[in-house]
Amino acid sequence: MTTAARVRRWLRPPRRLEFTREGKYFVGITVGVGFAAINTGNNLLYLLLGMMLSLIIASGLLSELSLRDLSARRMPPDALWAERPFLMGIALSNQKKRFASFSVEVEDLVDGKPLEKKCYFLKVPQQRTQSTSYRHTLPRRGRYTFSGFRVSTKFPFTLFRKSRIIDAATEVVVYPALRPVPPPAEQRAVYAGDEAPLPRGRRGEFHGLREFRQGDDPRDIHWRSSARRGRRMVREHDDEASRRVVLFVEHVRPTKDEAGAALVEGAISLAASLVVDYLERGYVVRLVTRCGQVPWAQGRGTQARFLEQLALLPVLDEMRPWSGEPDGGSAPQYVVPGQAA
Amino acid sequence: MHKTVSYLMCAVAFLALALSRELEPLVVGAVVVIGLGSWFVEPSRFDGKLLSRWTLVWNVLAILVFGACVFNAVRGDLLPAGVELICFLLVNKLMNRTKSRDYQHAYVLSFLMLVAGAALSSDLTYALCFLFYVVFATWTLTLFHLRREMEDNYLLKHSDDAQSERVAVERILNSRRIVGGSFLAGTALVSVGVSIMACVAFFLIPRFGFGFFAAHGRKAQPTVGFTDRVELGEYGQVQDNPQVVVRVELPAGPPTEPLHLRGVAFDHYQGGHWTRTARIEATKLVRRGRLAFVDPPTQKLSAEVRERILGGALEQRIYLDPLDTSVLFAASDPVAYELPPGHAGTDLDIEGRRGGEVYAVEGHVDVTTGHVAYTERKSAMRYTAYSRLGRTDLGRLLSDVAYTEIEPGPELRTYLAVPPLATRVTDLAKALVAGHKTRWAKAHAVEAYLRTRLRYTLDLKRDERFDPIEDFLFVQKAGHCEYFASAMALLLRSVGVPTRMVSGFYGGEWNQYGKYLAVRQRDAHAWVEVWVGGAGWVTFDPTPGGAAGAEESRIFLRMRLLMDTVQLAWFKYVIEYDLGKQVDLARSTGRVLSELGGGGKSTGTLERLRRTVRPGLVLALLCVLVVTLRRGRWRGSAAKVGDLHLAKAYVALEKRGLARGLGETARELARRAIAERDPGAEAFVRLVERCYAARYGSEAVDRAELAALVQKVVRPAKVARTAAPGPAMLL
Repeated sequence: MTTAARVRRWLRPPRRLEFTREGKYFVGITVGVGFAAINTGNNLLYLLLGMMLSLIIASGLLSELSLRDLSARRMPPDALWAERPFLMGIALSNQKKRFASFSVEVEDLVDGKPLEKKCYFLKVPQQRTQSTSYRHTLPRRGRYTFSGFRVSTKFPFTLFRKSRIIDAATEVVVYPALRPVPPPAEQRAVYAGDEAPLPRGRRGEFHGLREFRQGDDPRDIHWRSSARRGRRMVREHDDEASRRVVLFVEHVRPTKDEAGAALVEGAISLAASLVVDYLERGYVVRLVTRCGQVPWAQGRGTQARFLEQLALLPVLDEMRPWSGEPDGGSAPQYVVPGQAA
Repeated sequence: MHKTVSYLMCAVAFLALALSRELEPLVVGAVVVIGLGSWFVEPSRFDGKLLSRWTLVWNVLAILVFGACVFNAVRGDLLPAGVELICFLLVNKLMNRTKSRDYQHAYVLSFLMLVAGAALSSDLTYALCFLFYVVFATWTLTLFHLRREMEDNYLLKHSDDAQSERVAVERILNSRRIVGGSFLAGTALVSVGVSIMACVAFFLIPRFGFGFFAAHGRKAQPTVGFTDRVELGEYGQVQDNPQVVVRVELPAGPPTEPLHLRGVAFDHYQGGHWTRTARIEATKLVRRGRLAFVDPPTQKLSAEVRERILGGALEQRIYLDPLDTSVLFAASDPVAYELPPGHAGTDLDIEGRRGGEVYAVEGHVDVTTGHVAYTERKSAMRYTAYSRLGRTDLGRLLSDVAYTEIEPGPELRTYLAVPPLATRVTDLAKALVAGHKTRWAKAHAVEAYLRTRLRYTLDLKRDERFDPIEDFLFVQKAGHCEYFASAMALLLRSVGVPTRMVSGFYGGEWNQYGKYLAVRQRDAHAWVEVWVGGAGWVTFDPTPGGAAGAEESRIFLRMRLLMDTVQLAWFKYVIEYDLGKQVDLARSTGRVLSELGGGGKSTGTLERLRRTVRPGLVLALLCVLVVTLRRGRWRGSAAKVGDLHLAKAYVALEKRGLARGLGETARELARRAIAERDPGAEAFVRLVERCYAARYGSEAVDRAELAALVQKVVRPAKVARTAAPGPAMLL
C-alpha cells in the first residue's frame, strides 16, 4: 500500500451515514413533534419525541451491529471479456459470535468508486458465510483494480444508510471484446495480405476425430463415425505447416484522435477473436505486436497468454519496430486498424 | 406476519385516540368495523375492472368525507374534524393497500393518531397504548424494511445460462428461518430498549416551560352536588361510583379521623333543592407570595397570626381530577391555598367566591378593552391547601356564652332564611334546642338527635304529600346525607342559628402503596356549617354511619389501590413533569451519585442504597470477569499482546534478510532462522513458543518477558554479551 493510500485510509471516516427519503421525513416529523412539545408543554408529546429519538438511536446501534465484523471477498470468473456480461461472485462472512447481520448491501469498488450493481444479503447468520453474485459488463479491455467493498445497510428502519469500506484489492485483466470471425479458410484469404494461400488438400497424418464446426471442409467428414454417433464428425490431421498462424497486430493509431484510438481497439478486438478461434480449432498461434510478442503456442490453455498481451496492449501514437519477424514456415496475418471482420 | 403487526400497530394507535373519548361512538364503531373488514380485502388480487371501480368508490367517499370534515372545521369543530379525517384516511389506506407504500402511509396516519391522542388524552391508558405501539412499531418497521428492500431492489437470482429472476418476497418473509421466534424476540428486546431510551429521553429533554397545563386535555367527569343548584336525592346517583377523583397527599401521614373535603356551600333552600344566592359576600383572599390566605369575612388578621395559623394547619397536596366544577376542595376549615411554582406567568389563578369557596380560574385578556376576564377552569389541578383541624381552643371558646353569642350581622341574613315549614318541624327544632344557650350547644343538640333518631339509607322513599324535609323527619325517618344536612340546616335556622349546607367529599381510602388519600365519587357527601359567633363557621355532620357496602375482595382491593398508585405516579411524574421537577431530579441524582461515591453526608435511605448497590456492583463485576474468562476474551487479549511482540520480531528478522514468506507460520520462520544461524534465532524460538502458549494454551502472558525476548531478537549481539547462555533449542 502506498503512503498516499495509507493516508487516505487513515483520513477516511470509519462509517458514513446518509439520510434516506424516509429518514429525512422521520427527522422532520421528530423536529415538528419537538416544537409542538415545547410550544404546548404537553408531556405526552415529549414522550413521543423521546420515542422518536430512541428509534433513531436504536437504528444507529442496530445498523452498527449489522455492519460489524463482516468480511467480504469476491470470486471473479476465470476470464473477463470487455462488453460481455459476467457474474462476479461475492461472499460475505459474518464473524460475529452471537448476532446475525440483516439486510446488508455490498457494492464492489473499482478504483475506489462503487459499481452500480449491488449484492443484497437478507440475513447472514453468525459465524456463517453467504455468497451471491452480480451481473456486470465492463466496457473496455485492460487492467481493472477492484479496490474493496462498500458494505452498507438501512437496517432496521430504513431511516439511514450506514456504510463502511472493506479493503480487499483484486486486480483483474479484462480481455478485448470478441466478435464473430469467418472460418479459417476465409480468414486466410482476408487477412493474409499479399501472401499466397497455402495449397489445399495437403494432409498430414491422421490425428483423430472431432465434432464438425462451421467452416470445416466437408470433405473431412468421417461419415461412418457420424452415422454411428448421430452427429457430424470430421477427421483431424497433423499438419504443422497448414495449421500454424502468426498474427501481426498493428496498434499505432492512424489518426491522433479518439476515432483513431477506436480503430485500434477494433483491431485488437479482432485479433483477440482470431486468436480464440484459431486456438479453438487447434492451430498453433504466434502473436507479434510492436510492444512484445507471444511465442508459438497451441491449445485452449494458452489463450490467457495471448489475451492478456492483447488486453494490456497500449495504443501507440508513433510507429515502432515489430517485436518479431514473420516465420518462414507460415504465412503472417496482419490485423490493422479499420479492418473489417 | 408483516400484515398482522401492521394492523396491530394501527389498532393500538386508534385505541389511544378512541380512549380519549373525543371520537363519536358512531365513528369509533365505523372505524372498527371497516378496519376489521379490510383485513379480508386484498385489492392487489382484484382484476383491472374491479380494481378501477373499487378505487372510484373510495375516491368518491374520500371527497365526501373531506367535504364533511371541512364543513365541520369551518363550523368550529376543528380538532374533531381533523381527527375524523385521519380515521377515514386510515381505513381508506387499509382498504386500498396494494403496495408497500400504502402500508407506509398507514404507519404515518397511525402515528398522527398517536399524536392526536397525546393532545386529547392523558390517562394511564395512553401509557399502555404507547408501550404497545413501541413494540408493534419496532416489529412493523423492521419487517417493512425487509419487505421493501426485497421488493424494490436487489433480491434477484442470477445464473450464467438464464435471465435473472426475482425471488418471491412473501415466501421469504413467511420463512421461519428469516422471521422466526428469535427474530421476533430480538426485535421485541429492541422495543424494550427503545421504550427505556424513550423514558430516559423524556426525563432528560430540557423543559422550557411547565407541564402544568397538559392536563387541559382530560375530559371532565360528571359529578353531582357542586353546581349552583342541588336537588335532594342526587347524591344517591354517585354512591356506587368508585372512580377516584381527588388524591390527597398528607405529609403529616394518614389522618386520624376522616376529613371533610369542603367544596360548595349553599344558602337557600326551597321545595327540595338548594341554591346559592348572589347576596353573599365574596371570600377574601389575601396574597402573600404564592400563598392565598382565606381570611374570615369580618376579621383582618396580622401576618404573625397568619403564620401561626399556617404553622398549625394540616398541609394537603391535592391532585384533582377534572370534574365539571372548578371549585378547589380542601379539608374544613381551609386557611390558605397555594398553587404550584409552575403557575407563575400563566393565566391560572384562584378566586374566592361566595360561601367560603375558592375556585380555579383562567384569565383571558380582552383585546379591545385590555381588561382581564376570568372564567372557571374545569380541568385537572394540582395545588396545596392548608386547613385548621381540631383547634385545641375551640371547645373552650365555644362553651363561652359571651364569645359565641355575638349577634349575626346583616351579611349573615341569607343564612337565616327559612322556607315555609310545617309547624311540627319548627316545634321539633324548638324542642331540641330548649335549654341550650349557645349556638354551638344548639347545633350539637340537633346533630345528636339526627344522628341517633334517624337512619341512613340509600333506598329512598318519598311521600309527595309533604315537604321533603318534613317527610324525612316525620314519615320516612331515613335518608342519606343531603336529607340529614338539609334537615339540620333548616331546624337550626328556624331557631335563629345561621347555617349553610356544604357539599364535598368525606373520608376516602388511605392508599398505603402511594401514601395518599384516594377520594372517590362515592365519597361525595353533604354536611352543615354553623355560624357560632366569634369562631366563625364550624362543621357539623349529622349523618349517621351508613350501611357497609359489599365486601371487596382483598386481592381486588390491593390491585385497585396499586393501579391507582400507578395512575397518580403517571400524573405526577409524566403528565405534570416540568422544569422544576427536572431540576429536582438532576439535584437528587447528583446527590445520590455523590453519596454513593462517598463524597457527601448520606441519609439513611442512601446509606441503605449504598450498602445494597456496592456489593451488587462488585458481584456484577465478578460475574462479568468470570463470563469473560469463560468466553476466552482474556485469552484473546493475551493472544493480541503476543501478536504485537511477534510483529516487532518479524521486522527485526526482515532487516537481517529473514523476511516471512507468504503463508509461512511463525514456527516455520523460527526453523528457518535456526537453519540460517540467525543470531536472534534462539530468542525468537522462545518468543514464538511463549506466544503460541498464550494463544492456544490459555497461558497468561508476561509482558516483560516477551519484551525482553523481542529485545534479544532485535539486538542479538548487544544482548548476547550480557545474557547467560540460552537453553537448548526448542525445535
